[in-house]
Amino acid sequence: MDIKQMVAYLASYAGSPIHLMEVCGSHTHAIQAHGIRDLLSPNIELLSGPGCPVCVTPTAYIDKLIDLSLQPNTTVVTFGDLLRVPGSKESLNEAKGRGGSVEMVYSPMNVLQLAKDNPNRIYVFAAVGFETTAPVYTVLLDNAIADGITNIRLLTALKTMPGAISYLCDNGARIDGFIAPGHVSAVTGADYFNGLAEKYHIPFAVSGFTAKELVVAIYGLVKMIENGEARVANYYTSVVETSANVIISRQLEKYFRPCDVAWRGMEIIPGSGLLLRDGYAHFDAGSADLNVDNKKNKACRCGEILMGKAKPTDCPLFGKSCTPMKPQGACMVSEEGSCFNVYLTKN
Amino acid sequence: MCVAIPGLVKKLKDGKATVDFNGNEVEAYVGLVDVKEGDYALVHAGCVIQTLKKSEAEEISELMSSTDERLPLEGKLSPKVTDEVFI
Amino acid sequence: MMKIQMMHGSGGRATNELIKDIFETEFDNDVLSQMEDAAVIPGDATIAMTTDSFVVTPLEFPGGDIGRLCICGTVNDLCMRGAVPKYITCGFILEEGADVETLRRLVKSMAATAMEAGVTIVAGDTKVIEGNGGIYINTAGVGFVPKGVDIKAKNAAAGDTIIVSGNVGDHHATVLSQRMEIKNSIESDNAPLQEMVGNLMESGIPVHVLRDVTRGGLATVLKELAVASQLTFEIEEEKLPVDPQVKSFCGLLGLDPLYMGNEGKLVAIVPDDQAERAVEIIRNSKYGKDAAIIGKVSLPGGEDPKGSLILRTELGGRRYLDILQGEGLPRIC
Repeated sequence: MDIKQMVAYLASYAGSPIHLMEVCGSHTHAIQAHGIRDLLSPNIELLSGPGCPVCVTPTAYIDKLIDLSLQPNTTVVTFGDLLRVPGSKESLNEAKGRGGSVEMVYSPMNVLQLAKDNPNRIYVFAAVGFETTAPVYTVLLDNAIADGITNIRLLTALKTMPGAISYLCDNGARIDGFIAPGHVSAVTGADYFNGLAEKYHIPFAVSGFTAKELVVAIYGLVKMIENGEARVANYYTSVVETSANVIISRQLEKYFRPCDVAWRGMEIIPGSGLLLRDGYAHFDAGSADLNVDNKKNKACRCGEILMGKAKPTDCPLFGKSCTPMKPQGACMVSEEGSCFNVYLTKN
Repeated sequence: MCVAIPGLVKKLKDGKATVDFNGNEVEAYVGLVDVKEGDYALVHAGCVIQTLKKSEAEEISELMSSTDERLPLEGKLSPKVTDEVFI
Repeated sequence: MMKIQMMHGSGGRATNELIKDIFETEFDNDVLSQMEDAAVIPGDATIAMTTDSFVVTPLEFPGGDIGRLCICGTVNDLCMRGAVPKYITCGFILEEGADVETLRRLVKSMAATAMEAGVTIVAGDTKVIEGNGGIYINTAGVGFVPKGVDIKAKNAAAGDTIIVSGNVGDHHATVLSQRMEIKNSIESDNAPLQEMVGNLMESGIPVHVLRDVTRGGLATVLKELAVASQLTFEIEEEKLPVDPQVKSFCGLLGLDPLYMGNEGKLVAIVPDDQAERAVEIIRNSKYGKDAAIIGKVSLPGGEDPKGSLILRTELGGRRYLDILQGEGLPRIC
């Protein structure tokens, strides 16, 4: 069977309605970019889950970053996506406009040079991310320690996937199969999702990011659902192994401990976050308990959208007071957010 | 969630790799994966997070163009390495 | 090495010396050398006018610099109305600390590009502000529109063919590579397009629309044209000309070549039966060798709102494209 035949099968699928969820922002983006939804039968629906690390960050975290950026001799360093996320009152970009010190970088590693060049200034990196990005911060800390750099801090909002997937399944999200995140799996191994597949009797397909790879993963999920199979299928074998990368596991274990953490729009999910261990507390910028989510616009339905319970178009703000130029919620800020992606498609 | 496409590790020096993505060279920290020169690697946020082998990449390329009747194609389908980045 | 100081903007001796030393030397021509308050220029045709400001970092990059850019940008804007570009004015805003030798190189580059584009620099101005060595340039241009030529955005008609004059995203990828310290051999495409447009005009092909593909990229330009004509534009992903290295660069940073800026590419919309000839003419022009037919204009069909821009993807899916949202920054997380 080749890709064309798979596409034909998925386009003409007339079985029971199937709801599939991707929990990776790059998948959300790739599905939109490749026009994948347009290839599927109306009976196959793709939902975007909490796969964008920026979108799931509560306002208390943004507020804390803003406070830090306004402190003397302190610079907040961040990836570009985070700049426009609304906190409870304003975004980091707005804070920058009134004197906040904020710098955007491509890699957390850029902080090493900044910190070396300006030893009297504290550099706080906005350490957001999932399993894929968390190990990068351990390399940053390894290098900071080796070079004796003491003016780097992390404000962590690190999250891990299984807790969120359990939360979705436990709270009535209607999902028949998951497109498992490709690069999270590259770090954790495909087996990472075995327990969830078994517990909730839901199949997982580990997928890459090209149009063809996504079609194969969706086809695989539909077939598994039709056959009543609930297992983890790996369609991204060039980079995803069955088990976790041991070096990365060791690094994460060394620097981080699990913690209970709030996901924007969801409750506090036990054990779904990572905090620096006490031995590295001197690198922490005050990351614990940033769980309050005090949205500026109460009508924003980001939470339900992240859970697959509402579509972006169900939100009263969507496309009206909430657009990519003037986002009210995080799902409209990031290019990986589901509202942003639907906005591009609908307009 | 992450932008990470495979590139060729051309040089290793001082804990950093020079990785080539179809003519685009970036510096990436190593330390999370055993990497050697000539490996294909995934780079995320300035670090190498995974490697893949060229022979595997070639095998994949063949599989992509073949018509395999087995369903589903589990374990038999992966990306071509350098020329199929998503846009 | 000499640096720009606040006194260079005083209007006194230092200003005069700077103008004499750099601008007069490089831009020397009969109109400018009169050093009058305004240039008086001959002409009795319909005129096209435009202005643009240039604020690029870095000032010099592979394939070009802000000097070449500021001439090309204004020349190309004039060409897109079917005008023959003739005269340019330039205003420099220099930050204190700007390097005089760099300024000289940029001005030389402007002069060379103006020569290539067949335009004369007829007036100029210089101001100095406090700052950190930045150089900003504004250019305005005047061109003459030949009789009977009427090229504008809303002229696209159902049945027309969409042509792009070459690979998209090169300039944007060049500048970002420099800023992000990614090594590659990508070069900016910044180029004046008066010869290409001249060839099209001479051919007698009734060109409906011309638009240069600058900031916001091809998708933004096409969406604006679709909205202006209230018709449906459909382009095919497979036919988009993108340099493989630029494509990988975009993959690396999570960028989309459809939204990456160019500085030497145009979109031409022509009647379908003239499309093959038009694309041949563009390919045989300077800076047009990678030109391609990429799509069609049609009446809005079915559910599509008026002014839709649709990308037919590799596997046959449809993707609606809007103008660029946000800043087009690299996506990381």
